[in-house]
Amino acid sequence: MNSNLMVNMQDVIKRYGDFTALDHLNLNIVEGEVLGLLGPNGAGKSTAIKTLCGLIDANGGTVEVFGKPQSVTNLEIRRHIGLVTQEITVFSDLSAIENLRYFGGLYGLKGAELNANVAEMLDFVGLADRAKKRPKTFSGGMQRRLNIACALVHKPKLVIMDEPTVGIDPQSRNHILESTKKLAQKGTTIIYTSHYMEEVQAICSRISIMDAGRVIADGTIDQLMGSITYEDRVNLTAAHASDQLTEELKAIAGVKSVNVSGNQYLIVSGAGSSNVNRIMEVAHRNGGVTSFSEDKPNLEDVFLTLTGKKLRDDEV
Amino acid sequence: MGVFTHIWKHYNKRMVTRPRNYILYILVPLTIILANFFANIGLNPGGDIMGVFVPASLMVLAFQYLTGEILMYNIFTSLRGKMAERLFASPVKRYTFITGMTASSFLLNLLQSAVIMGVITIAFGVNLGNPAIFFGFLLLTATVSQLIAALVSGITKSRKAADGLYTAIVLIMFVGLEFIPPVSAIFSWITPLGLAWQGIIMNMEGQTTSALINMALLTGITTLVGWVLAPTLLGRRNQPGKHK
Repeated sequence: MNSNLMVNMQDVIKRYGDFTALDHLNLNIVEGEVLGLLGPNGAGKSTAIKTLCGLIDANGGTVEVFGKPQSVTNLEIRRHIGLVTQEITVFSDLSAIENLRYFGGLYGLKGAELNANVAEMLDFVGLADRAKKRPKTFSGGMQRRLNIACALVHKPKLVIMDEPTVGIDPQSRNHILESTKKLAQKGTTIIYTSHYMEEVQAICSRISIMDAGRVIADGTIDQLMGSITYEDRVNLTAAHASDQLTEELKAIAGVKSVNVSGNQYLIVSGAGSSNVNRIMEVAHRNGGVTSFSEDKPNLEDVFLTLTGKKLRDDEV
Repeated sequence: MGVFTHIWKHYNKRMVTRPRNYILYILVPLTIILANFFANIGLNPGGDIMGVFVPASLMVLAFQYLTGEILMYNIFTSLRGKMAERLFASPVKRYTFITGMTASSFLLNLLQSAVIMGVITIAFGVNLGNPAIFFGFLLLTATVSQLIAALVSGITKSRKAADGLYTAIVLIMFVGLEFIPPVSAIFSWITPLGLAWQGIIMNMEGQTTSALINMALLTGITTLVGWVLAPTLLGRRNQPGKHK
C-alpha cells in the first residue's frame, strides 16, 4: 500500500433500503492530490463523502482515512478533515468571527492558536473587514467564503469541498478558486466536487467520474480525454468559397465529411487525424481564410460519453 | 468537558443575542404573575396571601414549560439537515451537542423560575415550606419540560409541527388543572405539571410525605421520558444520512 495514501476506499457498499448508493466503490487519494469527483445527480458522490467523513457507516468494504479505519464512532480522524458543505452551514445570528470561533472550538482549538487561525482564515477568504458582521448581511458569495473558512479554521489535512461555488457571483467564484489553488499549493489534500467542468479542469490534478455508485473512469484530464474516441472538427470561413476548395478538402487524408454553408466550412475528421495544417494549406491555396476554429473534446464530452448524461441538469 | 462547555456557551451566546428571549421567558411571566398577585390582593384586601400564591405557583410552573420552545428552536436549527451533517462531521459526539444545547435552555428555565419565585417570596413574604422540596419541584419541572421538548422534536418533522404538538401538550396539562372540575380532571393531576403543582401546595401546607410521594412520581415520569424515549427518538431522527 502507498504510504502517502490519505483515502483508501475498497469495494465499498452502501445501501438505503433497496437502493444501492455505493456499489463496490474503489477510490484512492494520495497526499497533496486535488481530486475532482464528478458524477451526475444520484451517482453516489454525497454518500461517498458522508462515508469518508464518518457521518454514515458503509455496509461493506474498506474505508480508510489517514491509514485508519473510518466509522461513525471514530472521532480522531474527523479532527483532520474539513468539510465544506454544498449548503451554507453557518449560524446566521452570529458574526463571522463568532462562527469561526465556534467551529474552531469544536476541533479543540482555544486561546492564542484559535485567535491566530481565525484571523488567518478571515484574511484567507477576504472577510477580515467583515469579521464582526452577521452572515445574514452578506452576499451569497461572502456567505460561501465564510462557509469555507469555517471548514478550514482547524487546518485540516484533508479538505472535502462539495460544490462550493453553487449560485454565486463570478468575483466570489474566482476568489474561491484562487483560495483553493493556494490551499493545494500548501500541500493540502482536496476532494472537489462540482458541476462546473472549467473549475475542475483549472484546479484538479486528477479526476474520478462516478456513476451508479462506482467509479467508471479515473485519471488526469489528458488520460480521460484519450480514453474516448471522438472526431476532430474544424470550422473555417473561406475568403472565396468554391467547389474546388470543397473537393480538395474532401481529398485530405482522414477527412470524413465537409459541410458547406455559404462561406462556412465544417470539416469533420477521424480521431487523431492531425490534418489541421494540411486543411489550412489547402484553404490558403484556394483564396485564403477569414476565420478558423478547432473543436477539441473537453471534459464535458468525456463525461457525456461515459455516463450518457450532462453534468448540469439545465444543459439537458 | 471542554467541548461541552464550548457548545453550552455557544447556545448561551445565541440566546444573549436575542434579548427577546429574556423578555419573553422572564420579564413577561414575572409581570403577568405580579400583576395577577396585586390584582388578587386588591380584590381581597387583608385576605390570605396563600390563596393568591397557589394559582401563581401554577403559572410559574406553566411558564417553565415555555422554555422548551428554545430547545426545540436549537434542535431544529442545529441538529437537522445539512447543519447536522456539518456539526457531526466534527470530532464531537452527538450526545455532547444535545446535552450542551439542553443545558443552556435548562439553565434559563431555572433562572426564570428562581427569579420569579425569589421576587414573590421576598415581596410578599410567602412561606414556601421546605425550600429543598420546593426547589426540587422547580428542578424536576425544568428537566421534564426540556425532555418533553426534545421528545417532541424527535417525533416531528418540522419546527412548526413541534411547536404545535408541544403547545398542545402544555395546554392540555394546564387547562385540565385550571378550568376543568377536579372530578373530571384526574388525568391532569397525574401529569408532570399536575404532580409538581400539587406537590408545591402540599409542601407549603406541611404535608412533606405527600409532597415527597409526588416528587417520586414526577421523578419516575422524568426518568421515563429522559432515559427511554428522548435519546432514542432524537437519535433516529437526527441522522445525517436520513436527510438527503
